[in-house]
Amino acid sequence: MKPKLAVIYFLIIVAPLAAVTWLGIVVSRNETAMVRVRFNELMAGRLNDIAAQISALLEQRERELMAQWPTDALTAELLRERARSSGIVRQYFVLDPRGTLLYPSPAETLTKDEQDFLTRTRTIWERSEIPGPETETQAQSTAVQQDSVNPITQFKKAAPPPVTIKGWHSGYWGSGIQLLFWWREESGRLVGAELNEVRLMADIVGLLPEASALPDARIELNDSQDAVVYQWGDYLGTEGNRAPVQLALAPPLGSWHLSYIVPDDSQGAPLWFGMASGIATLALACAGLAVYFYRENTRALREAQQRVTFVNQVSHELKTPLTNIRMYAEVLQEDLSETDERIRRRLDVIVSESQRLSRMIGNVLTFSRNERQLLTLHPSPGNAGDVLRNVASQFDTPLRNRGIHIDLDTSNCRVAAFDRDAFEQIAGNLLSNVEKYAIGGDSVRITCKQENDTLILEVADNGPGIPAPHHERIFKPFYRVSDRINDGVAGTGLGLTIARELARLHGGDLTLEPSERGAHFKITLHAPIHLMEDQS
Amino acid sequence: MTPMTRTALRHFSRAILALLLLGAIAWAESVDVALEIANPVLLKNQKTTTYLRLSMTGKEPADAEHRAPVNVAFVIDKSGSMQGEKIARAKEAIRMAIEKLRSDDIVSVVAYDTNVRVLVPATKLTDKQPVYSAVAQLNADGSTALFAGVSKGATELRKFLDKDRVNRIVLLSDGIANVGPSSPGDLAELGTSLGREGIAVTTIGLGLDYNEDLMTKLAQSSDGNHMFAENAADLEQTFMREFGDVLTVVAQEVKVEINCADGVRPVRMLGREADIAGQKVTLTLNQLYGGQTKYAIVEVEVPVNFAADSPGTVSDIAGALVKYRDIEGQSPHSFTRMVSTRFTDSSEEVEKNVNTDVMTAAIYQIGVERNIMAMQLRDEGKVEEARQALFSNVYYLEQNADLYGDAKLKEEAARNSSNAANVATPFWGLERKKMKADQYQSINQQKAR
Repeated sequence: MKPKLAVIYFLIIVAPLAAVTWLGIVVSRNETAMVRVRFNELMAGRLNDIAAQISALLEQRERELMAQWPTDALTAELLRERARSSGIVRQYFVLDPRGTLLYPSPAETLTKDEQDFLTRTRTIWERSEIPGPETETQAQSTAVQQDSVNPITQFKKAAPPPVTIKGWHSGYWGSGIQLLFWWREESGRLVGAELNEVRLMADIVGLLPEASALPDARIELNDSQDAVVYQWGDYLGTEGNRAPVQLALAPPLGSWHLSYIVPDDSQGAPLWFGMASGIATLALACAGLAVYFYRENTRALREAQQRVTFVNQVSHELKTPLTNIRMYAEVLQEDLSETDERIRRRLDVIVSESQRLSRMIGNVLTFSRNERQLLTLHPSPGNAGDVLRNVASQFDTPLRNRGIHIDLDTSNCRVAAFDRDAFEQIAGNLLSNVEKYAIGGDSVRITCKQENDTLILEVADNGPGIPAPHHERIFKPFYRVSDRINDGVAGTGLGLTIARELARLHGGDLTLEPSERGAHFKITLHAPIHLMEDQS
Repeated sequence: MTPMTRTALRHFSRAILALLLLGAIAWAESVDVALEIANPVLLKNQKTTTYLRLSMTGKEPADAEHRAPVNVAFVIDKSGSMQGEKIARAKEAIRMAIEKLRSDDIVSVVAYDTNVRVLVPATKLTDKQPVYSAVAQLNADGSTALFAGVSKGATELRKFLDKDRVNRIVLLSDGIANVGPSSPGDLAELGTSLGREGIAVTTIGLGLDYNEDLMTKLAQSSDGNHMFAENAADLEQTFMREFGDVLTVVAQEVKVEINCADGVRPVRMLGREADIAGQKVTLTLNQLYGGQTKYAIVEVEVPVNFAADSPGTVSDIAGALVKYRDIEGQSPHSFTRMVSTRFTDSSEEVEKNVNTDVMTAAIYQIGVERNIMAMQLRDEGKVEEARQALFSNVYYLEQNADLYGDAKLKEEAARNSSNAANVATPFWGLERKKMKADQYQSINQQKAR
């Protein structure tokens, strides 16, 4: 009983906790994933904005370079002077339509800057990387797109807008990036400029937000070697979530990327905390509930125990006066055997009712003793038939009143060692049940036989019987089959329980045998045959 | 050289001659320009190396109040290493500098550690109090995003970028840049670019841990100043000295062109980066300060048979064209100067006529170059070679000091010998910073007056 209870309480606490935890984990995992997706979208959006700003800066550079290009006669001197006074351009260059370098031309006397430029860009001219075929078509298509935005030009059918073929060339020189912008003039000549990449970097830095713009994260602009060019945001940790979102910049800075860095616990942590505290609360609640039930249960048990003790004591107290009443009534019955039939019948009722009462008290006391495990048996040699006849005689009158005839067969009984009181109690309880429940039957057959060391008693009535669902439960204490027929029938619900307990204690059993009609009980008791007595 | 440029050059030199003949028109100029040669008399029929010196002297302004408005961005390193006295002194120095400014000056304050914060966006100084309180909030922690700090400072300056103002970033750092581009080369590129825009970067190195190569490169390439404050207590003084300079700028966008006569080969410019294409040497200076002289010294080679055969011939060696914007007149000015030599047969006469001022100035710059080379040797770990190089420099300088009786060369020799003595000390870090700052001052002729 106790370990079973512990398991139940354990389940009360653990099962809901486990269920809630599992549910919580699933929900929070989904939630985290969703938050992360949404967060990433948001971040990607921000990074896109920044990348667009940088692209806009480059486009502005393109426009400036093309707008400031001298329209009058180009001289090396002019370009040299321009590059010298420009902070943005490092070197200008001019190619003829076939792609041969006109300026700075290796054939001429060059300044140190121009020589350095040629060293830096030698491979570009050797491999004719400018103009690249892909960049050209791409630039062409964007130029057409830009044109179609302006409907007036198309409507007026003015001179076809000059399709500007332009492009970027980006490469590496030393540890830095090398950026060349070029475009084709109407004359077919290709002109361009190498940008001062450090200055471009500085301008990009100038464009980007400052530290306080981002309170709990960090955005880094990384170059092709993943080194930080610029960063902003107040989160400076290195542990953190290394760039859940990265975005490469548009060409020509395609090897650069923006990274968004957030602390690892910025998402999900409060959720986990909330869930953990929820589970803890639930655990407390469950534990509280279990404790409450446990206390309720023990109190009920204690109360029941007290009640049983009380009934036991009362029964004990009742037993002595009842025995006296019964004894004197029986004596009186013998004394008045010759007298008036009417008086005798009344006396019979007194005797049989007092017998019934003493059986009930006997049952209560036996049950209580059994509960306290104080029940012991005292086998002694005797004939079960004698006991049965005695019991049957007690029920003779009540059964006859109900129209039930006792058919007692003790022919196969022999002298054996058994507890006389227990056997009497068992038989009394079974017959009492017949009296109470076998309404409508006309006879009860009681058979007693000895098979080796086993005493077998069968009591079969032909009353309404016991419905199948109750077959096992009828042996439980205080259980009573409740149907219309039985309603109003008095009883404690202990009779069969005690009978079975006694039989089992006696090395046997009480079972309900299958029968076509009525209830058929079979009792087996371990009762070794007493040879000496039998011979006499 | 293309034939085209050659013709242009010829026309140009003729124009210079014409101008010279007409005579200089006397304006109330704020800059004095002179072009001199180390050997006004040269041996004919001999290939000679000599030196040209173009000197530009800013005139002292009439009164201190009368000056060009400034647009200055203070860029302050507030990384962890600046904690304590350094940051307190830096704040005080900025406060003192701002006190010196007028209400039509523009100021911005940028602080950087790992991140960059614009503490004071570029504003006219009509009310100084908000600037003081923003600076007062500075406290130090984090790493050193020097590049980003300077970039942001430049962005602030550009909001009011004006040719009629003195546009200046004042960078104060005690550390090594470790976030963003941080090689001296990168910073030199940035400085060059800013310089061309008219923004000079003055760098002030504080303590012993800053990267002096990076700081000097940045200053040099943008034509700003570089100074070294050994400890926090020196900072205010250093800062104010530099700031005094800023307030005395008399000319900006100084463009120098030296055209050598056909046959005369410009070899190199001493101490400065200059463009040499054919006969033409080009140099740009961001500004000239009142009461200071800046020099451009060019080593030239005069070939054999340059002059006509008869002794006593006077030949033009070079012409110089100097253009600048007068900070007050606000209009572009230009000067032309010519220099010529007489040719003789007597080497005695040559020696007697040497312009010792120019010659010692050239020797001085060569001495500085050698000092820089010695430091490079020391950087490569060749301590002994460095010491030897410095000793030979001492010898070279002393010899010439005796020859020309020049005290400055003597002083330089003494400094080199002290460098030689310290080349192996455990205090090399300090020594190197001092050397670097001295070299910088010498090259840029920015020695404190």
